[in-house]
Amino acid sequence: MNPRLNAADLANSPIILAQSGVAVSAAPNDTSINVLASIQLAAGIMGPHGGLRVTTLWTVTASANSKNLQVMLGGLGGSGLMGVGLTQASMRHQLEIRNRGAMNSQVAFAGNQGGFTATTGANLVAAIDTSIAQTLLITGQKVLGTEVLTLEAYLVELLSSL
Amino acid sequence: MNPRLNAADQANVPIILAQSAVAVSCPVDTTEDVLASIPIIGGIVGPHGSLRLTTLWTFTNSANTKSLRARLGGIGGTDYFGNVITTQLSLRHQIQIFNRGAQNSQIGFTASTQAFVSTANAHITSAVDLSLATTLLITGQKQVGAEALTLESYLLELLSFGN
Repeated sequence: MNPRLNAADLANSPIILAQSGVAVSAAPNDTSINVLASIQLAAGIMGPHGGLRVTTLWTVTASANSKNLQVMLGGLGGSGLMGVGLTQASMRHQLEIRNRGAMNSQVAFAGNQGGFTATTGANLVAAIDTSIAQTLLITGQKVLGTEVLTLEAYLVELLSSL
Repeated sequence: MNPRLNAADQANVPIILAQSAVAVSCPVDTTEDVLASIPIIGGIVGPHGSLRLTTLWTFTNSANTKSLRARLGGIGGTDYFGNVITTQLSLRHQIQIFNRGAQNSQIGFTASTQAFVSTANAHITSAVDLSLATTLLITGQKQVGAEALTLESYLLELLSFGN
């Protein structure tokens, strides 16, 4: 243990909630929303000032047909906070979902090709109640079912603020 | 301890394996120079673990190439960085190397000066056996020896998940 830190400092360390480098592909010949990863969030785990940092690695068919990549807070009926339409062959992306001083109010950067850039898009907001158990989904959807969409790897970190 | 987490969750904390902000420069040569060498203990990256490397660089702004690499498996290992810089002055970059459910199968994002972006390139893969001890090298190589290429800082984190 680092003697310069107290227990409160250590409690605010990022925590890995989920991680995988095992490739998961959307179903062939399918244009529906495919759940590629499902991560359970225990009730209250984020706290009112906490956040989630989601890093993903993708491969898709390079074509003009959009491949819609999404991170949904609150399950399939919840709020999409990534919203990338990918047409190039690959992407690494990072998203932060922050509670805004209350456990039922979130903000995230607007979807784009990577997660770090300036944009004309507005930030994304949600009102998912994280004081109760929720599910975070990573999903993919193809406009053309015969194309390929693969979640190669993902990392979900909890950024606590006690 | 975070009261919202159980003991198993608490164990999945990123660990800093190595970190330095002492500048290390390539000498006046055109060979591939090792700027940092980080031992990776055998088995420390589990089948579902990963390594996250963040680096900060400075180099001569010119048309001559400066090749920045991060090799998993020593000097003959797979380069997960693969950046070739010309007319820029500095770079901050991050890579992440995931084990793919086995300790001898890895994937990382393709070489790009942007760590988070979409690209037409394929990902980088390797088959380095991380159940055995190995080395992660950060290297630099200049086309023109008299130019500057400096690794200003680096941070290597181990991201374990359940193993």
